[in-house]
Amino acid sequence: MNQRWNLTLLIALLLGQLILLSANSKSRGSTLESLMLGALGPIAHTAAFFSDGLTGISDSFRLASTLRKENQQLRRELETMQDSLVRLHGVEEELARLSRFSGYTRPETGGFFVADVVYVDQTSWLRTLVVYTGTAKPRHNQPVVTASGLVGRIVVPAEPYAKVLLVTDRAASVSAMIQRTRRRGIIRGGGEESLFLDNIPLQEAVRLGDQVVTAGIDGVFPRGIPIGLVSQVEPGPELFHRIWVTPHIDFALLDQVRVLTEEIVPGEIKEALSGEEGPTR
Amino acid sequence: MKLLRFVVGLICATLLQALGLRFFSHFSLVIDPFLILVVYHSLDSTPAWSSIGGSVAGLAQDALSGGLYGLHGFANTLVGYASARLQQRLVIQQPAQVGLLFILAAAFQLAVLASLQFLLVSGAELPDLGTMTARMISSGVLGTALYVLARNSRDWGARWRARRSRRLKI
Repeated sequence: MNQRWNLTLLIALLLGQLILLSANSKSRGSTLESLMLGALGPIAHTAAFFSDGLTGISDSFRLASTLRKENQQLRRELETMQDSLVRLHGVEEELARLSRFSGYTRPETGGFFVADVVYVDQTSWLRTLVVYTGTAKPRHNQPVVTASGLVGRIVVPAEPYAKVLLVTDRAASVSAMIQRTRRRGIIRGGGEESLFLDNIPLQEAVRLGDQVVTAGIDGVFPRGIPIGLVSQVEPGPELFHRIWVTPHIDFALLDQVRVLTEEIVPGEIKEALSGEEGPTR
Repeated sequence: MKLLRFVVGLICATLLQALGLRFFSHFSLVIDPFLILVVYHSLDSTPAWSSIGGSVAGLAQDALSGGLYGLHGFANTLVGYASARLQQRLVIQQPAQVGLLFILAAAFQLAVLASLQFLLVSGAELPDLGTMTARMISSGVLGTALYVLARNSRDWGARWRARRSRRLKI
């Protein structure tokens, strides 16, 4: 009787897990996943708090001698940036004038909120990033970036935490383009901190070091977010190149990210087009 | 009491995993605190409780990791049940036997995870043999250390209580 009860319970549990597995392979994160993430988020946050404190103390001793040198370097960089900013203001005004003249209205670039990284695991076979969003409300499919480039998108919002699918994950794909030629392709995660740029035809001249940015046509990521640099090009099967892209982001060093708040395509339009909200997980 | 111990264990496993990843980026590849918790919990639990424990710990691990939700839940449910059944049949008490149980459990979990990945995820990425071996060995060593530490602390506690009650009688 006892053994039968054990077996029945085991089968029921396994069936439940299988249902979960089959359900979330089709849709976004389940409610149970959000609840679990919400419960475990504070524990991961506590660990992040302690480790940051420890590294902060050791860094303050280690960096004391290099601060003066770094300060001078940052001042020089600031001056260069200010020069660039003045030039860019000029370009922006010119662009606005030309846009008015041609009747073109640029889409809103939108704002962002900053989120703390509380848990990052970019080496295991299941890459993941958990961020603490504070008072800001995370949404499914919100793009996550840093000043250097694209990080990924939110797949499980569990206020005030959110799970992010990294761009290097094998399940991730982003519409992208080579900035120099504007040729569009698809960036796919290659695991091991590498990316592949697919669907670029063989007749397209791709150079090592070409900048790859988001194309802004997948309804999730706005155009022009830097993704990485072309690091290797080979003729692939059929009519396309096989292109390796090295991401700009060092995922091991992430401590804060920006979550973009503007929806590229409003939800109502997405629903009307596909009958569902956005891409599946 | 057992439930409380499991919950505390789950919190400790999450803390350990999060802290470990902060200081050593390959931590989750070679050490799985959730698996150690599941097998340790199964050493003095019935197969039913062990399956439930494995299920909860696995789902907690899935909430923090990428990929399909329920992968570790499924694998750890099976691991919990199998190790509890093995413990019931063979009465595993010696540290070497416990170490072997942890190694076998790690191997079994990796096999289940790999099979699920292979079946459900197209182009799934599987860990290499060296990583899998390291994970099995670390599970064996850490699991045995935890078991010995817990047993010794229980013995020490019992001796302390006996000494105290003797003194009180005097």
